[in-house]
Amino acid sequence: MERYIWLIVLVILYGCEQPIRPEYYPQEKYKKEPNVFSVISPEYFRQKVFVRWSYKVTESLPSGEWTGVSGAQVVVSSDEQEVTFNELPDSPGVYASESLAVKSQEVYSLKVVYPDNKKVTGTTRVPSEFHILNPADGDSVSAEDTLVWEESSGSASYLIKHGIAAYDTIFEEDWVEIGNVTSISFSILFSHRSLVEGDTLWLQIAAIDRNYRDYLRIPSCGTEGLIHLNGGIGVFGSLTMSNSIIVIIKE
Amino acid sequence: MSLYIQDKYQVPHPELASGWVRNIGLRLDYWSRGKECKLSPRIGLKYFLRPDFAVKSAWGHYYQFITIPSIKEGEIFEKLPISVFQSWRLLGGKLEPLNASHYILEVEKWFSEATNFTAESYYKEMRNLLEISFGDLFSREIKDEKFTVGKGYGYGIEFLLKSGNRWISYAYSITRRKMGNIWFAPPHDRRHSFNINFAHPFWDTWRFGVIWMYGSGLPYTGKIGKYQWMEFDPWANEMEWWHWEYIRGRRGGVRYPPYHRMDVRVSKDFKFKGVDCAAYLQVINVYNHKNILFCYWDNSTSPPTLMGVTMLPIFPSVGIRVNF
Repeated sequence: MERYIWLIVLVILYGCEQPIRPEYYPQEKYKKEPNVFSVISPEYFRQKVFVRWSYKVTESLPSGEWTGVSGAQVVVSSDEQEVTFNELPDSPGVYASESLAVKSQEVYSLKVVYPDNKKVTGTTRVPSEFHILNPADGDSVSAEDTLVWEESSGSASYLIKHGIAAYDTIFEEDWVEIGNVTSISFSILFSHRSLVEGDTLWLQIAAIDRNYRDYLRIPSCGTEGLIHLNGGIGVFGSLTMSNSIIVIIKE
Repeated sequence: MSLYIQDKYQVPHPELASGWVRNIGLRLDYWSRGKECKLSPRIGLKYFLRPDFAVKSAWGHYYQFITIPSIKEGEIFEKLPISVFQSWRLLGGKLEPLNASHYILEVEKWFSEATNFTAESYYKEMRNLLEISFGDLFSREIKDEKFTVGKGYGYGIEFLLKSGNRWISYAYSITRRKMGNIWFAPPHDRRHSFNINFAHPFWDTWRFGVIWMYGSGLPYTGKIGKYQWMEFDPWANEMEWWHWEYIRGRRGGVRYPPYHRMDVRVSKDFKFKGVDCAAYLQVINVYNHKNILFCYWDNSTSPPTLMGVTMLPIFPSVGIRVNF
């Protein structure tokens, strides 16, 4: 009987995919657009802007996987300063500055002018500083306890980075977006594994602005309506990080 | 709560053996969630020009208080039977009931008692159609504000020639929806449909049947551009990786290749302990045409290739049907 089941499965799978003839390809024209990525933060020593193009759906990447655009003018400004970013010599299309002092609750504007004079602009307000309220660094907690933090003004969502060191595993690290809330229980945060006595947890939270939050949602929701740049696609966003804490799971 | 009344009236014409058939109906629905009554009038007229030739027309206004909203994003979600996971939505609050007006004109010709031909044209207007984004579909409680309310229309003409168990039909139809400010062809907008159904009994208890169906391509929203979506580590301020994200073109602006397939069936009637039964052998998609369910771009080839995921290939099956 088993062999007949396999036969049926093979018949179903046979020819599951096939190339579609080009006359059924989308015929709409698409012109390449600037593609810019930048997330700035008071915690970063060096602020970066990644400058690329988008492509027609029928195009392959021109050369390997690195497709940065050289020769662009990249400027980030606020009420107090205007800083021109320089292209990193070993990374074409990556522009950086160590002199831009990013402050929380300030508004920053990005302007990127491509070599063919296409211009992309965007603005972001950096979320305010905030701290983890509970537990305190070094506390012992149970899995049922709750992680609580101050609200960060101007944030649209929070990211939590969590590391765990246990006797039987090596250090595991991950981060997750949890939405616009200011508390979460450890049991939910670590729902993918059960916490046991002696586990050591490392935690840090980032408050992110609307621009970066929407960019993170693109893979599940699609691009439409989630881009807040003028003249291109991508993101100019910001984030502020909390203090980090280490806690130990008690009995 | 609903109330329905109908009046059917026939006026024979003795000289021409022709006459009118008039059918008037009125439905009253009380909609408790909206706390209001809705009236749905309908009227049907049939005029026999000759005993073997009639012209029919009908008009009606209809309300629907419960619906499964369509899904906004992604052709895969528009095509796959994801409605299995969707729940019916009881309308009310800010969501008005769906309503539609139907206008129908039809001619009917009888060549013999078993053979007739009909040609029917129709126009339908639909209002308060609902749409929801895929992201909101699985929310625990979907608020009324999450729905996009739109409208639409459809029109077309259908021809049917029927003789006993055999028939042949053709339909030409156009359907459009408006959601937000955009008019578009919805996923079920099929321009041409052609069907042949042939059934023939032989050796008293055996039956042979063939069905062939053809449908021109259904629309979907094609991807026309793509860009590198950055996998960024916000703690390290480093780019980890990237993957392709897509720019979609005009909604419903591309069509899949045409759909066609032939099914063949042979059956034998018999009685088992006094119960009518039929054993059958059926082969679906006899010539194994690869009909496309949905498609995706394969970027591992250069240039990228549009790949179609196909529906059921040739599929034989045997069974016994028991009539209770």
